[in-house]
Amino acid sequence: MITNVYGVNIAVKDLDAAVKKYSALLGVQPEWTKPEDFAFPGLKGAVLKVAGVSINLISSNNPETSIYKFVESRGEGVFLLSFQVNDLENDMKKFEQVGVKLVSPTAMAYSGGKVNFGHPKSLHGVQMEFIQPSK
Amino acid sequence: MVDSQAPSRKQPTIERVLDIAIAVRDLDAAVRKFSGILGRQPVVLPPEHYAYPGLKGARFFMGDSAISLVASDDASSPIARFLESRGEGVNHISLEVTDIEQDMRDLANKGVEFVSDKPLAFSDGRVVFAHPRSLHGVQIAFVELDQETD
Repeated sequence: MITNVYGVNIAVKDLDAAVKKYSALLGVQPEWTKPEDFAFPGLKGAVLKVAGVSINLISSNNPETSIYKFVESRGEGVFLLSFQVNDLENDMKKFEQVGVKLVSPTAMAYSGGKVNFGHPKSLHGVQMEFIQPSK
Repeated sequence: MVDSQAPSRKQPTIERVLDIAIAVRDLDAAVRKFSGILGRQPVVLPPEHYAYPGLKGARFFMGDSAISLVASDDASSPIARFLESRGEGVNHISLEVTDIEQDMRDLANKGVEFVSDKPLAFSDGRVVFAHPRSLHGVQIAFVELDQETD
């Protein structure tokens, strides 16, 4: 099941400018995200934590990435909502039962745990990420 | 305790991510789907809840944060215009502040542009929306909640 709102991913063009602005307005210092911390290659980012919710600023210079394509077609903005789950494989079945189209048939591994994505067409225009952090 | 010699505060006080609001066309269909995904039932938000007329919604509380769905039958409302131009999706993120007038000044000093000069009243307190062009494409609502009385 979904236990909490894990984060909000914002796609930006100029990562340094966005980090500067959001760090100032949120009053928190960024943690820079390493490329290997993303489930997909070609991304760079920073995390600003606000009372347990991660505001993730992400940019990409690689035209193959979904972040790059999103910024090209829609401009900067909220790219994805991230939710923490406690049993990803089982939760994926439940999500599919209520009509969520998952991006991958199986959970994907990344440095922080396991993840899958829900397609925005099946989620009223919102791309969702379901994360089960490794203990 | 007030110290008159203390310098004026420069850092906005962002307490938490209060809410993430998603604009949808069919509220009932979205409520059904999100209830299934989030595994909980929403609180209905009537038109009187909102700072702007012509809106209706539902809110799923998730710990200290929430996910809201908001729809509109009024073609002139900000939500209807958002749906018209961008389609369904995340409309804004609400951040809780503790002193909205002071925080507006501090935020303006950090380059945040607001859509109104003053906060607007809504059912839970006061709110001011910042323009997405000043926030890398994200519309942010800064919300000061009324003190809870119980």
